[in-house]
Amino acid sequence: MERAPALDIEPTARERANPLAGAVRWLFRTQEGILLVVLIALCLLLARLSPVFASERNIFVLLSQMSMTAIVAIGMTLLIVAREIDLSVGSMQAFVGVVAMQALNATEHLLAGLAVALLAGVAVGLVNAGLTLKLKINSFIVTLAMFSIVRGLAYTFTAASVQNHHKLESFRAIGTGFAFTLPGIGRVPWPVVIAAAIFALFAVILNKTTFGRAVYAVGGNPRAAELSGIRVDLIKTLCFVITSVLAALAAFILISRMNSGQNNAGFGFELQVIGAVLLGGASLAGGQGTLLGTLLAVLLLGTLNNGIVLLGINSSWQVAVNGLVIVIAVLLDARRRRSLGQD
Amino acid sequence: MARRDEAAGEGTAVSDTRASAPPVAAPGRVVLAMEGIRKTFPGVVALDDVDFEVRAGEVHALLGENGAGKSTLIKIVAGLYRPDAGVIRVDGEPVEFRNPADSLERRIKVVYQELDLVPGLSVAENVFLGGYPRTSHGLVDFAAMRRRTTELLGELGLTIDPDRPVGELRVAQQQLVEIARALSRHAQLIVMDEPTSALSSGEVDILFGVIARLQERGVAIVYVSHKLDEIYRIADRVTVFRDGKRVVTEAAAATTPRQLVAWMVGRDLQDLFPKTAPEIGRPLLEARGVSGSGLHGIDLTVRAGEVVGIFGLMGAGINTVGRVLFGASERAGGTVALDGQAIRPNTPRDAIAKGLGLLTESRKDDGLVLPLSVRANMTLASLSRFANLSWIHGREEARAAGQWVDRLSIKTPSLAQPVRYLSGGNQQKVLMARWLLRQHNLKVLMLAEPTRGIDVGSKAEIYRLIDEMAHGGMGILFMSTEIPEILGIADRILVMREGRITAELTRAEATQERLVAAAAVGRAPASAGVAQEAGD
Repeated sequence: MERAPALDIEPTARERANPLAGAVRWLFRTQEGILLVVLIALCLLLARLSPVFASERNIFVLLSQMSMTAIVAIGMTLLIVAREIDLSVGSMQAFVGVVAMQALNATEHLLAGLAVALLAGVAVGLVNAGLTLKLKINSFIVTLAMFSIVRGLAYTFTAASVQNHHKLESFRAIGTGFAFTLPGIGRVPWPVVIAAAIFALFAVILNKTTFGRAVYAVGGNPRAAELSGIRVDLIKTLCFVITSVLAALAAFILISRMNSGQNNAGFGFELQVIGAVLLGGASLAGGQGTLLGTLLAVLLLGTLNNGIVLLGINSSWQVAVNGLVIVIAVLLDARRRRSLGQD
Repeated sequence: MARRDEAAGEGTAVSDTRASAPPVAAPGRVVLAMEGIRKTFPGVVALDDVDFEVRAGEVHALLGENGAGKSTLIKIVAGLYRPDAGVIRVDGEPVEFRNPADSLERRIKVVYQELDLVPGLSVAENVFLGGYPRTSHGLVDFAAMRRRTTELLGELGLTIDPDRPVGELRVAQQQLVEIARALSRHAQLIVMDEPTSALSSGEVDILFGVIARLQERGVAIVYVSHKLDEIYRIADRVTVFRDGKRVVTEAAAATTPRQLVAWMVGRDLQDLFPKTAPEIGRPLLEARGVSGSGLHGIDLTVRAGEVVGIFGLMGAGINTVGRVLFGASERAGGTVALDGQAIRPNTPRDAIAKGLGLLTESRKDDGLVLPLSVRANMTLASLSRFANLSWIHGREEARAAGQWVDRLSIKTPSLAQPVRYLSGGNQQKVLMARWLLRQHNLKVLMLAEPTRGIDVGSKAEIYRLIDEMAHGGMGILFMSTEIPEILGIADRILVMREGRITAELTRAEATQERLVAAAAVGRAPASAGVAQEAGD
């Protein structure tokens, strides 16, 4: 291609002179912009249709629920940008949940329980990375196997669930407590604060550090990255471990919210997470995707599900809607690639 | 013509599309005429009020630097782009190409550099892809398909086994299959986009033979190339593009190479090879007995300030030398040292850390990270320079990248532009900049065919840069299959054949004849080439 169509985000001379035109273009031409517009439109619509939607309680419950998806989706964004994937994050919710709850019961110590959860995350992440990179098996296959193995471990660990016997107050606070009060808005739940902090941390890592740059390079062209001196396997291993550890953290928040560790937790969670990441603009071809896009997609999906409940539509539709969103995300991705002349 | 009709007559049981096809236009008739074509992309005018015509039976060469508008024109002809303004006529009738199928319908076929064949299917299946002949029962008539493929290839003077999977063929043969496919659809116009960029000289001869046969049949050829010698060998007329405008259309015989270059570049290019007297210092890169990946016992030394050329024919393994020394391909034996420090085998990271750089011959496969910006691509190998504890100082990075964009006159709207959208020459300059940004710690730079597929103006700039770097005390290993440039810039030339170094010539000793002789010792005459290999 010679004269290429300039990229959407590249401002033209006129837009540089007029920032407003640039902002409008961003809103309607980039994935993030479109998601933001749709999200705002959906919120306005739900606020009109349901008196409950805009209430402080609903908003924060909604955000708390979405926090866990957001936390895992952040890791999954890194992994998908690096051209890998992890299908085991849903099973991790069950496995880490039952193991961590058992550890809490045994030690009666919050940090000990958390440490066990995160270590389990590191272990699963290393196994995923090791099988994918050392044995050179596609991570889709590896983590599909781990999806079953990890779920199976949860089943063998307990017949149904591990109940909370330790009654630690700090433990309950993680999932259901409030971190602080925003004047004029309300009390902000801990899960929301944790998710926001992780988002900020990884937004900085992905955009401002050599590691972040390497993640994009490794996903965009692993050979080129290697020949430029980047340790491709190391970067990918870190992405696997980060994803699993964040999945473990989400599982910890989940058992706090449910007050028990259940071996059937997180069914279909991986699809929700991956669907959000793809809807957010990341490409399975690697090298493309932003955390902002992922976050907006998580918010959009969560709001959509919330709307289904509030409007009294049969909640079974939630699952179907998630699938539908994946189809839309993939269609958008295909359309974008076509317009980039990648086909 | 007569042969075609016979072939059609034979296949009576076959629902033959050929029988119903109109005869190929008489020589001299205007097959394709484009008038006032304009095409813009955001921020760029790719084609500006362009007129262009192709006559039956002519080879019409299309010349221009990267970004001049040739590719855009081809894509309009292929139905991939729609012009903003202007008229396209085929056989005198105004047409509108909304997609590639429309263009094919008008019997126009574009053969791209990246061929669109199905590697797993046989030659015959590829030739008739999308329009298989059928038996009276409606089943695919494989026998007829094989027979007709053999005939079509025979008409082109080729003997490629129609049952062979296309994936097993050499690129040159695949290209010929594409042309046979065009013939199976009675193409009256075939556009060839840099068809010789991956061919050996013997293969080029065969392709040119095919082109001559096509011409006899009245097929019009649009031939895009950067290689002036080829144009003088086959073209009847030449059209030169520059900055989206048609500069001139002229009978090829009425032009001189110097004129053509001046039209392309827009100025008189004084000296393509700005070679200055070298100041050669201590040995930097020393390889002893290196083997692996098809190499055998490679010994070579590159000294500070020296440009060492490696010449060989396609397949001689010249590019492999760079890859093996760098660690990108497997080194089975031997030692490599840079400035006295041993380089570990198969670890590019170690080679880079010790001061070695490699620009590979395959930009898109292992050079560019296409979705990333110009800036990120440039600084990929030197990012730590701009980072503190892994934190990237964006301003410093942008300043350094910006300097090289200016110095190499890389045409890009901004540093944030994804590198995918740059033209080939500019992409190559981005990759050069990737290593130039490591200058502080780069002792030897190895370049594999750095000017492949890029225009004359950019070539001259790359030669100038190489000279400049050598003058700064860097050692350069320059791998190329093109004799003029090797003779033009190397201080010393190593010639390779079948993975071994067969000769070493100083700049004074080296001539075109000596290089060719050393590269081809014991080799069958070049013209044996493609067709014979295909038969086995």
